[in-house]
Amino acid sequence: MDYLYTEYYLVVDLATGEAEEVELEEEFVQENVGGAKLNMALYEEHKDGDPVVLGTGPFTSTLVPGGCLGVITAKSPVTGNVAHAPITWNAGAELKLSGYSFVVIKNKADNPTYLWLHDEIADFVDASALWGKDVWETVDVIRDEQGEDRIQLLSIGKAGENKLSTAQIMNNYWGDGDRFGFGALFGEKNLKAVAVRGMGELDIDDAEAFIEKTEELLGKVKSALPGKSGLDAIDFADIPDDAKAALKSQLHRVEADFNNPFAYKFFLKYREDPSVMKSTDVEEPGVLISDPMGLAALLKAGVPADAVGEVFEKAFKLGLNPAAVASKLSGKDKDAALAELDSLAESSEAEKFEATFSPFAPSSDRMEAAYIAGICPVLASKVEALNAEMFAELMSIGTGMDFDADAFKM
Amino acid sequence: MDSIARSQKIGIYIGKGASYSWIWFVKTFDALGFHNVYFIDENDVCEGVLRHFDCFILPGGDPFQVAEGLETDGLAAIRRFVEEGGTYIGVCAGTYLSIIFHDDPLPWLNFEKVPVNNFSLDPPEAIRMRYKYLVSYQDGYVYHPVRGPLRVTDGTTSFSAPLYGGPPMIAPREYIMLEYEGFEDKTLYLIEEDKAFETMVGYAAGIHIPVGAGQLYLFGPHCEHPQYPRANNYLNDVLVRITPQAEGPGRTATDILRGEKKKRFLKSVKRELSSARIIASGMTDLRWKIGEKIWEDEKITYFLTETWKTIKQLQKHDCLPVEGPSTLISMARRIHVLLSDIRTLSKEGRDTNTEAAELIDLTKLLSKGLFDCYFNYKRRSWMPDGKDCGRDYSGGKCLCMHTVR
Repeated sequence: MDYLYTEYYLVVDLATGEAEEVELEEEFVQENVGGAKLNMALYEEHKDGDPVVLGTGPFTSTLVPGGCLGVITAKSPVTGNVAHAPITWNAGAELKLSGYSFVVIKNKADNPTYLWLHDEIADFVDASALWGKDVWETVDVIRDEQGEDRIQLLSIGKAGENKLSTAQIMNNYWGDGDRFGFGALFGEKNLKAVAVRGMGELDIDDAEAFIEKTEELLGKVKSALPGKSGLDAIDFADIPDDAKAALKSQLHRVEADFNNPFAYKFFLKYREDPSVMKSTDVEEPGVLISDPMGLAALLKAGVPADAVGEVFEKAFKLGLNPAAVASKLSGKDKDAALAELDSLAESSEAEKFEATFSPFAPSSDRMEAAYIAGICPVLASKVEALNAEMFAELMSIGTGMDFDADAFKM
Repeated sequence: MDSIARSQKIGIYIGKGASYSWIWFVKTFDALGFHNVYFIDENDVCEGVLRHFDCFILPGGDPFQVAEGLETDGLAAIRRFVEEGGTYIGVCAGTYLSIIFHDDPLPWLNFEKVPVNNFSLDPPEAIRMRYKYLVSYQDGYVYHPVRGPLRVTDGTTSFSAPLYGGPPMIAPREYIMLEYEGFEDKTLYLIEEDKAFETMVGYAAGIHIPVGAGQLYLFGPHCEHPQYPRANNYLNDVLVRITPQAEGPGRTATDILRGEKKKRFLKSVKRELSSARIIASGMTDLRWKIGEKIWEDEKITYFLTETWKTIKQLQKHDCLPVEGPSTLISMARRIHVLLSDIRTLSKEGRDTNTEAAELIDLTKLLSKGLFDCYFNYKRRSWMPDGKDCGRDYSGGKCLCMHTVR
């Protein structure tokens, strides 16, 4: 594929330690477009290997507003069905720019392994020493080992290693949108992490027209946004006003994904004054929350708002999905809740919970199109202009091929 | 484009003391269609390879280190090359090295007395970048009034070219090709603007001096910088004046890699180079003094980025005429290790000058190896039939490098 995507996708066989580069054919993209839809096609093609497919949309890591999204597609240990989870922040963008728009990970490694994808290189790295380490340690060790702090990590903690359906695939230090227990699949595969660093470039067929269109779209996006960010932006999650007020006392900053004008993530500080904006000696001052529905679940379970940050931190280190374990924390104070999380990550019993297509946004046609296009679904749920018609027009300009709105439907 | 008119055999010095600016020549020559380009170091010069070249380029860098590397024999070989009809192009360090600008000059090339207006016993006060503003020379100092783009003129037209330490020269009118005409918005002043103006404007930025049967073309600014197309065109006009006449082989490829072998070789180099450039991309505010030259981390990044781009181009070629592929892979691996060490040592607040010196040498050699490969391949394109001649040469299949006319 000459435009918007990399030339190749990668098929990794963990059992043999082989990684095959496969040309991403135009016909395949014409038929499957990208994101969740193209992931699904790859899943079907390789389903004998029980694959986890990591993919990007055509607009991932482009200038299209919200073009940050990567998608994980696999058979969910929670539902038993093939499902899709979002990869937000920077990891999706970096995945594509690492040289592989799609990565199919098949079978099981003999020993703990992590995949290191960079500049069209796929390295299998022994992760024996990382097995048993928490997510935050894992991120630090891999970044140090490979020599760069901007390496993006999709990894698991103890919950994933123990193959629990409450396990999440974590995005760097933080939780992301895996509501389907995909962390357990990484554990099943002896796959501790996928590390990516993207320094590649993408070509666009009619770059001038594409940029002009994205600028026009950015104007529409900005005017449609409610002008809110962080805690104020999560009006689609059930969070009581008094809890919001308590959380605001710990609010340090808001954060946005790659090229996302909507800063819906927020960082809480509870080990130092939240108003301190400089880096200090306090090593772990707080936590980044990008999961409003997990937050809502914890509050609903009765976790005190001023303890939520530390509960998130513990869950993130263990690689647990906070929404999935929230009910187990009901009625517990902070210390008891933290101890319960430790115990849950070690348990062999999978917790039953309801999985949803996205943890972030209500289900809609626009969200579905966003999962195919590589656009942040939270942003897409807020902005009407981010729809299948617009995506089809942009993709036609960017690739020189013809796409219609139906292409952006599963 | 008349490719035969650009068949001059050009040797670019990349040995001791050369900074990264020789890569600008590579990019610009490639864009202009000069593909008969070779990279030579102090050992090559001392061994007499210059007799096989039409033009020898001494690019920017540290003239003290260049002179130290070339030693008496190398300097004499360059002088002989010019006197016997060769063309010498000096830029910045290559210019300082070739002229006499002090009554008691250091034993450099010293072709001709050409005073410079930025030598002083009592230089003006620096207002920024003190660490790279001044270099001591004998009883005084060579100082650098400005950095970045400025205007130069050949008397009829003017264009922009960047200056990174090159001299304003005081030369007889008949020698002058270019003069400093003025500054630009992006000119960075290292001393007060009025003093910079007094030091630079109206003085020679480029001179041409016949020496024996040969020619010297000496420049202060970097007309070879690929982001300055009009300056590049000026350089092109200088080069096409040189009549291609050098004979004899350049360096030859020892291996011609095709198919899987080619793919494996490039993948191995890419693996290490990718890791290296990822580490380098995360480095900030590192600076080393190697000889008299200050090296910042972004220069390492530049080397690695340009080398990376070359690999991407080599991937498109159907074969790779390469000299010592396994050595290149080892170099790439060592570069990766050195960068990793530098990162660790820097975090601990320890000195990394030794590692940086080795790193700079190796990045230079790896770049050279891959550019050699690139030009070996490209040279076929201007041969009459554009094909291998099929002869054996030095253990490898000849890529027509035996015919350099």
